[in-house]
Amino acid sequence: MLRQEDVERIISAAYDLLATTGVKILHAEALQILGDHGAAVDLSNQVAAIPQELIEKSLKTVPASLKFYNFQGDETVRVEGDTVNFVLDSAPVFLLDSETKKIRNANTRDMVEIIKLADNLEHVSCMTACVVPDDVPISLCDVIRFHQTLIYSNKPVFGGAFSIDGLLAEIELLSVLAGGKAEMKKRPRVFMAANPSAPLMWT
Amino acid sequence: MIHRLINGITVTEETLAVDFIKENKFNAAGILGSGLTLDWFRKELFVPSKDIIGRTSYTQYVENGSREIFIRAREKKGQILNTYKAPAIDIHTLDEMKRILTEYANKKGEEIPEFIFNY
Repeated sequence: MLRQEDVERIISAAYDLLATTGVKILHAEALQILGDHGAAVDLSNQVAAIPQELIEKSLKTVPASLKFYNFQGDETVRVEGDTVNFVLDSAPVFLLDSETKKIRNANTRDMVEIIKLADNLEHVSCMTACVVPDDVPISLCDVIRFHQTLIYSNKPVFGGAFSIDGLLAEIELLSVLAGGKAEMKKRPRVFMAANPSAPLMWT
Repeated sequence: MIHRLINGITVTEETLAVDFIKENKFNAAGILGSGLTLDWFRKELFVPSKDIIGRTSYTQYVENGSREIFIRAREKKGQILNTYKAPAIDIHTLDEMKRILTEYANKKGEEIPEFIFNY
């Protein structure tokens, strides 16, 4: 699909953007950490320009291979080298209703149905909550999404949390399901994503 | 689909859009909402399944009942959901997970809607 020279052009463009435009990060501590490690930080605009050397140095600390397990305890996902794994988007707030053919807010019923559907799609290797439902309190939404994903899916989970409290509650849920923290660590089922909330922006 | 794969992914100044991103930088609506993003999304990513999109002649489409794309998509969804098997989580674990979720909600001064526990 991509020639090696295309891959190099894409990576080069990414290095260029990260070093010149930088990324906006609305979090003082994160900016401080980046600044301490060589990024040029503009605190007033909350922007960090990240040089290529820092990116390359950081990438060397990434494990060469990661394995993830399904509910039954089988390894079904390996992240290494050029392997490709597909996962659905995790956070659309709207969906196109196939009955009314109108775009509307997503709800929990949609979420559960899409999780069940994606659980049976052989080319989708990991599960997400698939939507952000509008019929649960927003302050609980991340933990409810995670709970429902664990309840209805057999696959490894591409999770996410909206707060530190939410993350801790999700770890607790996973630990109970795995049969304790030791088992949870032995056969990792979930990886947490830290996504930009918009291109080049972290909030 | 074979033609699509052989064509590969287009890597040009336009698709890399470095200058466009530099101009719009932290304006999410500017980047995601642009015609450029939508055009290339449709060209490179938007490939509906052969079970959903019609690739037969119009005559064959009519002979097969003129079922439009939403109907075919719903039928396919029904077929897939019929073979769904929930993870076999024991009742004690489900109760423990309910307790964790409920305590978390209490801490936030909220309530978990009951339908969340209608497994």
